[in-house]
Amino acid sequence: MKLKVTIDIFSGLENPTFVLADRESKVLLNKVKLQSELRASEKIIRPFHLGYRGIIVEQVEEPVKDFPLHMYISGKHLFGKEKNYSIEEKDAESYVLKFLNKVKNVDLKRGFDNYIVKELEIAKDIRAKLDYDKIFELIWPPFVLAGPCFCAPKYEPEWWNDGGTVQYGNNCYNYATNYRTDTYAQPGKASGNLRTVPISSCTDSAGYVSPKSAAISDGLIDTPGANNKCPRPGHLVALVVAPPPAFGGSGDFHWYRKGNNGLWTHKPGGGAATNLDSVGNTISDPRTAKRGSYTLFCTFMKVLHGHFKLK
Amino acid sequence: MEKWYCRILVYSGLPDPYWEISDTLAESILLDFDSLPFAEGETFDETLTGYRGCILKSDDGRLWRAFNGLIELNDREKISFRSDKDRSFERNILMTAPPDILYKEMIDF
Repeated sequence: MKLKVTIDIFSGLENPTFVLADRESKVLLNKVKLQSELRASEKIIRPFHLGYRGIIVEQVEEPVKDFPLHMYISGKHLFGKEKNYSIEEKDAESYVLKFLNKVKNVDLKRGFDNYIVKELEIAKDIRAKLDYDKIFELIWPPFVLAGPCFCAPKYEPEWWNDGGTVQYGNNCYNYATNYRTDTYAQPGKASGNLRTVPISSCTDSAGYVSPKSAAISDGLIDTPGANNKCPRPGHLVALVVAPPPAFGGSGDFHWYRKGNNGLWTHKPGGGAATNLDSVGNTISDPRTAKRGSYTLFCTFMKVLHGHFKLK
Repeated sequence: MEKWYCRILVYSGLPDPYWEISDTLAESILLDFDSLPFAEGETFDETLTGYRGCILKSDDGRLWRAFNGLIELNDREKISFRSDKDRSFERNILMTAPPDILYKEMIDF
């Protein structure tokens, strides 16, 4: 087996990474004894301080079932993609520091090995002093501080409606995902699964790639059961379609986004971003808003910031 | 020689139709523009879907948007509005469109 190890220490620079051979990998996993799965109520979170924080361990060859494929190890905790665990601390982090000579992706200066040992001690000190209850008291519930949809973008029409490149170079898809490309982004273009025309319905059929599946390819997450509720993290968008014979037969698609105040806004193509529907009402729910030719409500989707691409 | 582009604002998601026109054609569209009355305080109705006007753009970045009796000029330094009561400025842009671009229901005149 082989494990790829990344030392999570930097903020801007690329973290050092290396691959452990079979024997070294087995020794490392031996030092990580899973004890119990962490319950959500235990409120343990991944470290967020500056400096050394932990190690990322990925099973890249002949994975073993007892461990997640992707693990973040920090002190007495192991964070997987789906589950988190408390672990017996058996110096797994100190062990990997012996292999800094295997790092090829960054140029580690002389003295880095001593430096990181000190950083590990600082991290242990920070971990010992962390009061998770206090942290959660401060940051939860976030909606009290920032509005009903804590993670959603603010409605800033003046930024989008410049009467120039931003307004005319970005369409409903750019606006809904809050991602300016100046390319009039098309669903699926960035991910090689471009929507096809005519835009005839919400779902794919033979030879037809719907804007919905194209957007999923870009990284948006289909959440048809969202029922107009804000996700956390991320923000909610909604897809509607104007089927043929609209627009001379080509049909069209349109997106809305739910803002941090809980209301919806949109940007019809090169037009201005607006918080009003086609009869001048504010939009509390795109399913019931007046939408002109965009008669088909397709779905809600979740946009996770930084987890999608647009072109 | 400047390059000129025209575009119809009609779609929300799909790319709007656009085409290139000559210097001469652009100049003829802009011939009487400076004599049009100002219409400050007016703006476009941005709640509409479907056809929302047309654009004439030079490659130096100046942009005219015309819709429903109003023209917006972004000369890269500021935005100003002029009145186009009979919509002739708008029509003149639309008439330069290649034949396969416009369809009957697109233009609400």
